[in-house]
Amino acid sequence: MRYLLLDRITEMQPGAYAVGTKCAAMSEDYFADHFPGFPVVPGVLIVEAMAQLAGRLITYSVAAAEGGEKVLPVLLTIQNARFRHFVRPGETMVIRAELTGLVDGAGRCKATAQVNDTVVATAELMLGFDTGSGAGVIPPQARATLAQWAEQVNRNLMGDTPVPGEAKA
Amino acid sequence: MPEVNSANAAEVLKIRETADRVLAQRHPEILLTVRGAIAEVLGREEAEVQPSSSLMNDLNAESLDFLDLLFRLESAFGIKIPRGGIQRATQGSLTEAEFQQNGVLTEAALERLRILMPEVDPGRLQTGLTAREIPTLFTPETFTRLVAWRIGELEAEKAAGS
Repeated sequence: MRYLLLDRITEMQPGAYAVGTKCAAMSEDYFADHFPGFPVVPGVLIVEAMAQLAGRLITYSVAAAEGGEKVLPVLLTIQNARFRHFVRPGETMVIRAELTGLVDGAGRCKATAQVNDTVVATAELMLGFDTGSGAGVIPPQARATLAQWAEQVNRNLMGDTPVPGEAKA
Repeated sequence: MPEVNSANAAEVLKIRETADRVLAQRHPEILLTVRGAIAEVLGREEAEVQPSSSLMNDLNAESLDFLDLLFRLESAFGIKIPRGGIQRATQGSLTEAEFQQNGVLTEAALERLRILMPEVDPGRLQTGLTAREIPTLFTPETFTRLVAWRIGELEAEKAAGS
């Protein structure tokens, strides 16, 4: 998948926060055009990386809170996105998502992206999932395929990162 | 206060009383903050958000906006709106079939809503109302009641804990 924008999830604390990394390799195709002679990671892709991490955090948080089927979060809102510094090829972003709220059908996260000790971007994201009020509901015919795909992506991302409260498989 | 003579109604009456108790002291202040939050979520002027405006019918709110609003109310008032809490309040111990039949609310469901939502014109809480139509009844007053209920519960928890 071209736009899987996390390389690894390194910390997962359901109900609290998650940390992941993304290395901006010179071979990323977008560097050719963004921008010629001045390659920088597009801000929207940093937000997408945050959203992907926030989605995993929400899935684990809902599972920890009440168990049952794993929810599939989809992005509903992006607020207060700020792009503070450029991210250049060869740099590694450490993305952190903090859960700030969980209600019926949605979770909210504050996210930051850092390169070394510099915060390069911050945003607040809301993701909906397939229970509750109707926003962000995944069509039933797509659910099984998506769930299977999400599970596989998740396994690759998580590696052997421990999840508190979860029995090791 | 409506006359209460069933166990079903008694269940929601507790929620109603908790909200009433808080509103007796703080109604104007809570309503003001709620209207401000709604105006922000919907990108409206506060003057457009009248206490009895229907968020969906008059202000074009969608389900997404309700979620955003719940988060804002949580942080504005320091309250928690627990997952499933609103549904537990509306449906209570009624089973799905006791609450709705083919999407149409039962008399027991309407009885609960009339107690929980005194701000809604009782003429709208009549036979034939569907579960899907419930969100069209939501006004700033509805969310003011929701906030008051949660504040009241929080105060009760604190009193019990201290």
